[in-house]
Amino acid sequence: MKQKLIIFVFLTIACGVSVTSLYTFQREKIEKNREDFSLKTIKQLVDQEDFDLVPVNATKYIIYDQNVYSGTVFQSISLSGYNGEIVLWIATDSEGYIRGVRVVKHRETAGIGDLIDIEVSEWINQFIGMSLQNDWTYENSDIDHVAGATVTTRAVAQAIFHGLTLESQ
Amino acid sequence: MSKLSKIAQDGIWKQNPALVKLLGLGPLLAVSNSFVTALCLGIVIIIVLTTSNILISFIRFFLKEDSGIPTKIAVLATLVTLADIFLQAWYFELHHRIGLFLALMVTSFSLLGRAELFNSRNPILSSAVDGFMMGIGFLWVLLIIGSVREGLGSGTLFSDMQILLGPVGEDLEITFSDNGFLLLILPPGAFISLGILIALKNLLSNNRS
Repeated sequence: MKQKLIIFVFLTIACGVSVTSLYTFQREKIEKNREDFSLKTIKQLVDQEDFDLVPVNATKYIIYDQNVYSGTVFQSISLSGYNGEIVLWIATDSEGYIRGVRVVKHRETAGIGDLIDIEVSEWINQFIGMSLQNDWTYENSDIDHVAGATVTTRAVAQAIFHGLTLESQ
Repeated sequence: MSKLSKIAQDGIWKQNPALVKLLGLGPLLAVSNSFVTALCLGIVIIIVLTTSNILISFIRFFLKEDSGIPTKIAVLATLVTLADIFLQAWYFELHHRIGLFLALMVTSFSLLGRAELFNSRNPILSSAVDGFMMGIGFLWVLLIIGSVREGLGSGTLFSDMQILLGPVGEDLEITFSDNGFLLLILPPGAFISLGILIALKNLLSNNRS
């Protein structure tokens, strides 16, 4: 009984130490990976050779082109998709026109609603160049909604519209 | 020697964890929608199963009495967590896609049940072979379902191999057609392919006996 207890204690310590030490050694690398992963998407959006991103907070960056303000990159989240939240990053130029939009997280139906993903279709690129001056209402809008994926495309358009509205205030 | 080959046969065919015991189906069905994720999960399963079987049967040297379950849970949970951290540090994009199901493997009855049945009465070598062969048994089922679902469902094969192999993998993608049979990518496709595979396996086994 006593021997068993000692072995269990020893085992627990060994398990704990191995997990903690690997994590401690790799923590910096893991955090860097996370950052790179989201920065990679954001950089694609800005569509420009040389620029600096200055973080305001975790969901908003300001773009500087040789120290001149040239727009923002910010996150917008929609809860009205078909299956959970849709997370978007939106980049604008200094006059509020959209430079690009990317969906970074979604769980919309594969093959139907996933056309919002740039790896599946170019649909999301239609927003480039749009601004608050466009018509964002459902009917007669400037947006090409997709039959069969109405809920998803509306959710994305609304998320972009709300994001722009919040940004312009 | 014949004992080891019997273990190998059991793991790969007769007692295949995925086709006969129907264990660990959650990760199996969820991850098998493309070849690369199926391959990666298979590799991780082989490594974790082999190492855990070796460690557990080693610990059993000291623990003669039947007190294995806490030991097994501790060892398996540790190994899966280590694999998870490893993937996060070196294969981040891969972790993005299979990370969730990796964690499910701890609770997955497949590993626990297997380890429980086997290690209590076997020496280290046969435990190691058993873990490895069970892993291979998982891997080939994963690969077949993964290739079929990716090939017929999205019309490609070996896409996104660069997340596993680095730059070498970028040219490996083969495209058959731009349109696939959508059903196979969706969850029902996983059940249908697995069902067909089980039926085929049963047919072959019945014919043989």
